[in-house]
Amino acid sequence: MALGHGGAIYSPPQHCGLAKHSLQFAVHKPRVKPLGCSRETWFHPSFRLSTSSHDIGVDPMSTQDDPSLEREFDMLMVKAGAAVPQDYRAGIIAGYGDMKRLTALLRQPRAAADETSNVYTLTAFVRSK
Amino acid sequence: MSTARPLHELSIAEAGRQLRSGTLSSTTLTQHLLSRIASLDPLLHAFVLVSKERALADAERADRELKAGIDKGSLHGIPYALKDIYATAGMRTTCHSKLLINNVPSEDSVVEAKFKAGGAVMLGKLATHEFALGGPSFDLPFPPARNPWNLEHFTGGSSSGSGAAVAAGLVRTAMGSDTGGSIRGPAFYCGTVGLKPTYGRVSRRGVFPLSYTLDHCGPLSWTVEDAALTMQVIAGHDPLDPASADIPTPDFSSGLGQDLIGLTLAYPRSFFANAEGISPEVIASLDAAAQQLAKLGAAVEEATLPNFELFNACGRVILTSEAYAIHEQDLLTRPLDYGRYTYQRMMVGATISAADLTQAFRLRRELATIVNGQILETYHAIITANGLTPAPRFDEFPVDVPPKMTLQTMPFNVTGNPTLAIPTGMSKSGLPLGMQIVGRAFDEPTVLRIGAAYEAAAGWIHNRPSCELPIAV
Repeated sequence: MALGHGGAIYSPPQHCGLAKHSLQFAVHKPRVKPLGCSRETWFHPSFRLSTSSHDIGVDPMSTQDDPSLEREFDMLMVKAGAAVPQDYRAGIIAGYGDMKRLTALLRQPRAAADETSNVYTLTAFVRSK
Repeated sequence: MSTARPLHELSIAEAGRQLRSGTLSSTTLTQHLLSRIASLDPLLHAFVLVSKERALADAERADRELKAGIDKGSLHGIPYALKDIYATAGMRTTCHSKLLINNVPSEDSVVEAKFKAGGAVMLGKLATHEFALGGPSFDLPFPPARNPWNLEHFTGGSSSGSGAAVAAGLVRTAMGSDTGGSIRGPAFYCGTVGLKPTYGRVSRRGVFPLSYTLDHCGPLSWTVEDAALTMQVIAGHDPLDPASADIPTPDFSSGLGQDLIGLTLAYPRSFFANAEGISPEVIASLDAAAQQLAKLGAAVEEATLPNFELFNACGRVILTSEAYAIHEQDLLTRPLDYGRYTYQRMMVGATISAADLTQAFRLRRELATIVNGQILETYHAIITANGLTPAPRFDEFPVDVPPKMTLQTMPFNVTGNPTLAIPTGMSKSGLPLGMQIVGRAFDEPTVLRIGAAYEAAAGWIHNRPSCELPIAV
């Protein structure tokens, strides 16, 4: 079944995998590069990832053993001045492991001039006077 | 009373018409909802405080004013409720936490002040995850809200009471807040509409912060029109909120009732369809919704977004860092006063370095530039999944907080774009499914236009929970 409305023809997907597009285009061409048939994900010239989302980047839980992760965590808690209740510890360490996986994803090629999102102007302070 | 329909099924617009024609009083409407709350909420746990006296006083005042020809706008005489992180002068505001169990603010949040000025009727304060983060939890001063579609299932969070209350017809519109999906998650799991407005559209002043740069305030409502009418009251520039945008407030209802001819919609199917653990029902529901939008006249085109995990990493690092900074003192000095999930989530913030946070802010600029400067330069809106699965059961949650979430909402907290959550059907297990409609910055009217057209055509609005509860009213 295909429906032609608003310039787009829609075809129900044949499966949920990566190999086939579910939309076909009659009038409008895709103006953003679509996902290809390979497992390469395209999104920005600066970012090139070769696998599906859950495989991106470093998974510290698979490369760092639990004792060393725990030692690292304990050191950070001492630095923070936190006495973590023993009963809560395992859950936070698991969260720390996942956070390490996430922070590894933040390191992408950037120029030194690429600024942060929260660069501010002084007008933000003046306007409230 | 001039209608055969139950009063809680009247839209805000229809109730408003009846209030102004004199065929319905705000007092009658309010008493109906208070009775419904008394009947249903002992099982739903949506409310942590029901302000019965205040509600009846507000309603009587609204009746007097409307009778005298004083019209304060679309919510005059209409009941509403607030997530319990919105400060209410003289009324307990706990953030669902032992730490603030006796907190009675001396000033209203800006949103509450706007509801008051608009003559709306305050029904009470709604359950949340502790400090809008830790839940679902059974170790807090109040029990978690339950899903009206099935009481054994999670409502989503953190605006859990808002989702449950609106879905069960206890109130037509309720305020939530959204830092990583806390409006859209409950809207998805409970089958309501939820609007995360553009960052800066609604003042956050007087709302307990979770993350300064990711927090958004917005409504959960029964319909898109209800959401638009609520937005008309709560939106606007606040010079004392550093994030508030100094731009004109649009007519949020201006696009309602229009078809979608002339609109182009990006459908980044690979953004969600390849995610680990996604339910085939969710994919099928989104495909059907894309098809429906095309039938309504939109050009629906496949597009590609940056990988979800990049948005997720960026948002999680910022959220966790800022939440830890806000709670650091209490986390260090009174850890056991927090719920287990809250403490476990927040303490991870102590492990994030300054360089990590700076990199997250740099990535945020890049992602926002791609979404706003590339994707939404081309398309009027993006259609994507809200969550990967229907609402999980409470007993699926482990003792320790799970590090990963199955919602797909964080990307648009990172970019700040207006995003509407709207139901797209039901799972075989009888739980709601839904999608997100993401618009250009400050273009809520187009997002609402798309949502309203889909809502009217798809008809899911008429699918309400039976509640399987002792409904007496």
